[in-house]
Amino acid sequence: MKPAPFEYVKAGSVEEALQALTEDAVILAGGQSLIPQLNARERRPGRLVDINHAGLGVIRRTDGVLRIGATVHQAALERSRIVKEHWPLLAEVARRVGHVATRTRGTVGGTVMHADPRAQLPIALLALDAELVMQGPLLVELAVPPLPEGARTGYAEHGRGWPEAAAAVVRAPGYARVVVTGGRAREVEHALLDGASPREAAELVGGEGHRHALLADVTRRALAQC
Amino acid sequence: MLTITINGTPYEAEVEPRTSLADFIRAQGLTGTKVGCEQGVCGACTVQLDGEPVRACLVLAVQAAGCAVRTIEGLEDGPLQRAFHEQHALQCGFCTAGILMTADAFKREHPEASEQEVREALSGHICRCTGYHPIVRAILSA
Repeated sequence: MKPAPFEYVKAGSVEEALQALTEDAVILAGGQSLIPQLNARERRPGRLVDINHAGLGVIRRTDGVLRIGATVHQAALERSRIVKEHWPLLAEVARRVGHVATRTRGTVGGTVMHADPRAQLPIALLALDAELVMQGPLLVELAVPPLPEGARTGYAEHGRGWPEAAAAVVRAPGYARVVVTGGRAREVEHALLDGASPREAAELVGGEGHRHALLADVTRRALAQC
Repeated sequence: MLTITINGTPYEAEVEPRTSLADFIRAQGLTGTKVGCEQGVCGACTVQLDGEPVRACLVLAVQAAGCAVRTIEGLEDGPLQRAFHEQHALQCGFCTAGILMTADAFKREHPEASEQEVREALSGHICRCTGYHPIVRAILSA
């Protein structure tokens, strides 16, 4: 359970990180998913480019838009007053990611780029219409627009840690955004906009059998919070 | 040469980039930090890095250069250890160092935590002998 040898480059800026990104290099952010893969030798990169000192660790709100630097820790998102006040969905979801001692290292950008379909934060970020700000191959920032006027949000999941099914929803007059494990549930959104009850709409979530039952259940529970 | 300050003392060693912080700590003779799964699941290797609990198996030693690490050897005797003793919150003790490092940081941030919050904080720690009830009781009573 030791990684294969690699070269380590600590990038002091985005430019340095981009320059260091050779073909066999991978980016090291929080490392909470990457390092287990290295330890199990599922991945054997020649070089790790550490972006934790590249100036991407800041959360700020400018012109109503939340800007989350790529290496902002999940714990910082969980603790942020700005996030709690203006994007309560993100604060609620952040505290469910992994465990205390992985959220202190794990980054918001890392969980997005790692792109495990069961990961909670990407589901919430998609429901909030977040944009990925890239500089070449490097994610530098996530930009989350303000919630629509009068919006209410909800989140529910089944199973702990890596939920088998999760749903994040944003509802406002004339607006519905429903994202479940696997992607947007557009049929549910259309039904809600057409006046269907949350219970009826949740049934349209897709999937078959047990999977459908789980997805419909989390969607119903998330909608009930709105 | 890599220098990491552990429990207030700087330790200097030549290491490969692939060396984990957990292995670095133990190689300095500080064997209170246990290494279990080496994939971030069991929580046994939890230490505090600049005051925050982290999995030492998921941090590279080179990433901790210039940082302040606190291990179980640096946790002064206090109410937490006494509560673990009184509540019989350990048997083999393999998981205990990691749990104490999380619990110490957790108690500082949430001095009035509910049982549910304590259980959530402990979710990243696996104990295979005592079971969790006495551990939860100890943290609540400390």
